[in-house]
Amino acid sequence: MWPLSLPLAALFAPAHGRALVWRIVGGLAASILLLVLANTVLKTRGRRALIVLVTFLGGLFFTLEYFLPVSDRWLWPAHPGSLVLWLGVLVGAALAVAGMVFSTKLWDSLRGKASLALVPIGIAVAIVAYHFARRLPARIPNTEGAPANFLTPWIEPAVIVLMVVGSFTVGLGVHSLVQLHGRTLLRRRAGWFNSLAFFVAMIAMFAFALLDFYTETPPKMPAGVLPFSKAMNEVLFTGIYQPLISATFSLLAFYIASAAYRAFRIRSAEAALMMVAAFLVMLGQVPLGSWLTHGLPQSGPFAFLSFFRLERFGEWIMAWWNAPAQRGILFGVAVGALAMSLRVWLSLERGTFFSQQPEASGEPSSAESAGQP
Amino acid sequence: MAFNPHIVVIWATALATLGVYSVLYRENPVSRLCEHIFVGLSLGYLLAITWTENLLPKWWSPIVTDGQWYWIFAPVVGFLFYFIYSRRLSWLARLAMGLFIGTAAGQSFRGLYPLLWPQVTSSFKPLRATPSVAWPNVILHNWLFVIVLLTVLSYFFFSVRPETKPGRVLSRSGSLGRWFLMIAFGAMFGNTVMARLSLFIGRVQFLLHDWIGHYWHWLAQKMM
Amino acid sequence: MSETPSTGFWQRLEQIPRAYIYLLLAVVVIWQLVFPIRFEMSPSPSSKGVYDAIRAAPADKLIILSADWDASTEAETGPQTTAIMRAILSGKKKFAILNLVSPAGVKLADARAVAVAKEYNATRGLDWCNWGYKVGTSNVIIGLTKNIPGTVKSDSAGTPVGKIPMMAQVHDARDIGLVIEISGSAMTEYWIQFFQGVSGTPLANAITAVMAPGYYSYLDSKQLQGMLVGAKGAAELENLEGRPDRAMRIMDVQSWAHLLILLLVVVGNLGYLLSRRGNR
Repeated sequence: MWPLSLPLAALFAPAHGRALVWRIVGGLAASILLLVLANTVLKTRGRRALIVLVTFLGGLFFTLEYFLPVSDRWLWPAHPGSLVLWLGVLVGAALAVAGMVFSTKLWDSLRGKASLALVPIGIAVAIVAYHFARRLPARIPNTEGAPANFLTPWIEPAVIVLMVVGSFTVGLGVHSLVQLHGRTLLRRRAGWFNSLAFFVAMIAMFAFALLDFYTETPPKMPAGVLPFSKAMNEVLFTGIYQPLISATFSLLAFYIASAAYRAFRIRSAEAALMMVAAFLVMLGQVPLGSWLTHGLPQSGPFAFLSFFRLERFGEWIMAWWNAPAQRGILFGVAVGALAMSLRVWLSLERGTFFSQQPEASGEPSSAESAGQP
Repeated sequence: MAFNPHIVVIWATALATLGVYSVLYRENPVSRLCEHIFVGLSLGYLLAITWTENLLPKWWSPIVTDGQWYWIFAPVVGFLFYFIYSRRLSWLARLAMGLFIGTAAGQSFRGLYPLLWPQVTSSFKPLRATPSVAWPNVILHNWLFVIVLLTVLSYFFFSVRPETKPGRVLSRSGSLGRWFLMIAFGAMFGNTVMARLSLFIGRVQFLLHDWIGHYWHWLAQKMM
Repeated sequence: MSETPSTGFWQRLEQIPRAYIYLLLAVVVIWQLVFPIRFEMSPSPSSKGVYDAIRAAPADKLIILSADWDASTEAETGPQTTAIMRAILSGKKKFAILNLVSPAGVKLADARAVAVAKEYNATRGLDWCNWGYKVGTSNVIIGLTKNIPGTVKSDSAGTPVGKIPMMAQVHDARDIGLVIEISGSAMTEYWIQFFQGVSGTPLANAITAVMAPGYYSYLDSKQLQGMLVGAKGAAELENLEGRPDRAMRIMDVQSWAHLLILLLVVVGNLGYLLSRRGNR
């Protein structure tokens, strides 16, 4: 048995009571320490390398799980391809860590020497990962013939982790809106009462929605009567929130009528063709259009005229003119999206996400050091 | 203090709807107030539902009930996003964003093949009549489909120089593709009109049947 | 040189004030809602595809209704949802509601399910359930292909999935007979990519009319079994079920509102063309 297996298994075992609290505190402390260490040791190039690595690994997991051959065996005894894969990941991780270290150019400083600690840490992580892979059962459980490889059972936990992590980002939107309306309210700018209404609505909706979730309706309530929290939630959600959404979007009907009247002008042959197609499709979709051409026979010697029934003609335009055009657009968009995804995954894109902030100590950003303004 | 919210809901709905529609006449304080209330309610509801539907069953309960303490690392990663507000530490936010962007890119590769490959294979339509498909159908359907598809694709080819012979062919075919695109855009306009009108019709149905019709039963009956 | 305002008849025809157009539209809609003139509708192949897909779904498998809509598209997706639920329950099949886009849509779809379930004596937990809103979109769909109980965890009321009787035999994509995506956004592509394309489970969708043109190519490639296009599709499904309802009322109004829009386009162009001719 591997020496580390028992302590590791015990560390990650479920805990309760005081042990749970200590593990949570310890986990938070370890995370903060790691972040502080990373912020202190890593400089611009090292940070970029770490971001590139995380971006790559994030995409690699789902891509590999999809492209790897189906296999019902774990790593060891392994499908030769899986072994090569793991060796490649280990070597790659070690090289990435070494690259971060060598890129600091701080050999003579204490920080540079301390950064050497990342190398054994990286190797230890790789060894622990390999150890876990070796301890996994020979056959993938619960697949029962479903196509799977050794990464497949990790899809569900990974998905849940991403969902939970994503949920914590909701505060970004909250902060943005609260800051905007808070400033308006505190400085009594024009329309401050609207910002007050925003805050009242937000707090009320949040409070009553939570209360609605945690409150149970007493069994002996008259029909239609709800406890105060549930009734208020109903008023806010069904009575105000939903109709505001519906009404806001329904304004588009007026705008499209006005736009169709003012802007839809036949200035060229192409515009005329577009208008004719629009007319035919619009009439073909409504019962009135069906009625206009209902006299065209559907059987007998003139059955071919039924093709010109507006509902059929409109459907023909949608299925045999519109569909191939949309498919052509789709192919173009898909090729562009594929190229863009590849560039983003491999961090080849330049832009806001990948731009570097100048260091407070005066160290130039990677753009500046590359000679760019 | 329990109560039946039905009537309050109907009146609140009607007033909210009419408040928004007041903007059709001109911009006014009532419509602005409605907009701000809308944003506030939306945000409050999102916060509540994020807790009740995601964090509570998938994060809080595993920690508190099942003792799975390692879920504490999830908010650590999630809160990295908030370092976007710090100029010095914004790289930590990019670290978390990198994880999600990389994941999204990886998933896009997963999705490309099942999404597109059937589209490619179904584009190869039979161009000859068969015992089950007569010539008029083959021409009106399959030939039309292939011609429209190829000309529209050629319209989006920008990497061939137009002064070369292939470029001239592509240019002409692209012009034809543009005409076919006009037909598709006309069809899209037709559908857009129907969609927008449906939204308004739905609102008027409520105002007439559920609000006014609640007091004027003749109107409610007419709309049944 | 000062400009004189256009006062000719054709110029005025081109410059009808917006308020009159809005008023005209409102009058037409109210008139048709109160005094409808009904014309018959025949089902389109795309709507028939949805109906046939529901009929063909195995009775021992679950149908997922991904009701990814909220009040912004309720006028179209609401009647679609109701018509689909009626078609499912009338065929004595089971369905589960899911929402991946908008938390507000959970209650809306639930209210419709409660109303339809009453018509067919269907019981929550036995014939239908509501999985609620799940954050993660593509991640959730990927999770559903492998492990439905683990991904869903609990329904919209907080009841653990293990305690819902109809979920006892539902484990992964192989236990799903049909997925129907109802939305006003591009969610169908996610289901095609991560569920239908991977597991081969039949997929149909019901979308707002504005999104429909882009999905005809998926109908052609048989990635979609059928498609309900806006209120028109909902009305066609209602007719196929023999129960014309709210969607059919909307289509009654649509006929005349469309006619008004077409007339406005014609009048605007007449004014434009003839006023140009008059200026020459």
